[in-house]
Amino acid sequence: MPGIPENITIAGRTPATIKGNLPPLIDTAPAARGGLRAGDDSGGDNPVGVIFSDDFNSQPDWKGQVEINGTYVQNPTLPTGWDAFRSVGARYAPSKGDMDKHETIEIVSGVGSGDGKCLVKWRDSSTLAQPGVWKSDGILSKFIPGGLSEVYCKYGLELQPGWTSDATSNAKAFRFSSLKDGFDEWAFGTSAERGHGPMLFHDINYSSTWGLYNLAAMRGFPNNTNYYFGTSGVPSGLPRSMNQGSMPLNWVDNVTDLNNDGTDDNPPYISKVDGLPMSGKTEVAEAYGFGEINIFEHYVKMNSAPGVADGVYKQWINGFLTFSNSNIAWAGPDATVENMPKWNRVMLGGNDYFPVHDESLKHEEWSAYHFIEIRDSLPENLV
Amino acid sequence: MSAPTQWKASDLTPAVIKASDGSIRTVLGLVDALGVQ
Repeated sequence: MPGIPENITIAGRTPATIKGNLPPLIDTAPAARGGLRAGDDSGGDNPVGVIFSDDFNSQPDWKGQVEINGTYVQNPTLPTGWDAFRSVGARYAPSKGDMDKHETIEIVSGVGSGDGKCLVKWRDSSTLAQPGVWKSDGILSKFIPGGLSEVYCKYGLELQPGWTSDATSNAKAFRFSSLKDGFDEWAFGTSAERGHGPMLFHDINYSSTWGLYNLAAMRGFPNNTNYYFGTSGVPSGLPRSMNQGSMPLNWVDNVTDLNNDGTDDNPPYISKVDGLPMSGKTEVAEAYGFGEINIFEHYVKMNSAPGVADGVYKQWINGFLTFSNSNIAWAGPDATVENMPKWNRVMLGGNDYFPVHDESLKHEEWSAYHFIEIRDSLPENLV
Repeated sequence: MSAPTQWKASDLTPAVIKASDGSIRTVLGLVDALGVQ
């Protein structure tokens, strides 16, 4: 991992280089700690391979408000360089009359470690029954015009110290998608939206029984027949069984034995609490710590032709390879050469299952995205 | 306790997008399900 200690202050950026085409090596502290070169938010000055980056520091303060007390906000704004957002389902927020609370997503400073701005996702908890459980749906989406056959995304995510860690809760944090032209261009992806597929979701989930797990949810194409890999079939060499495209990955043998053949083939994830290889039930602090910027990296590559099981998904967390499979038929045998999908959406956030704290407490928790970088291929150090 | 996995087609929710012409508009669509993804 890039290892600039938190107690080292990065005061400035190095000067621009040749005709401004090459970005300075270091831009912001979060970028430096994330191992990024600097780049502007338009993609124009990004290094080769980087098609978009944002550390949110240049963004104006922003709140994802669409409606306030049932009235639509006139002239809603998008953060610079981004293409869509959804911010609904806040239980406690200014738009709901709670002026000391927060909208589901916002860009602000003062949340998360460091002085910079972050994209902040707030999850609101309530023990009330449906429809109060899956709430706090905040997504910020970047479109990739024309799409890509492979795409890589890296982002820094910090969890609020004290992030609820002893009760079942699910937090959607990230997704790649392919959305077909002619379908709802605003859509963010569900089985009901027929234009989506394939997709890759990553959730930060906690089971009171099993502890913290990585939910990797893969969805296929075509949406109406292969969303849950009904025609592609389950990829070979997975670390655990797949249920309708989803895998609740643990932090122990699912990491060390990536293909579940009984032989360790990958270094273990090291606990942030005791510095030892993960074992047994994993707690949130062991994997992610609190007050730390965790580096997530996701890479997907479309399969070469309909039904051919050579598509890829790889995942790294804090530099540890935590998932790798190259036998995925993202596009099933009922796709055609003509309608082979391309990856064209990258999204941060999602909704939450968080029925833990009593409604009267109006309990909120944040997760803060410090930066994002999107590439059209794997960076050299991961090839 | 397991997460519920039903979605309701009536759960239309607003979202904001940048259209191909650069304009920004608010649209209504299906919510990101009640846990379905």
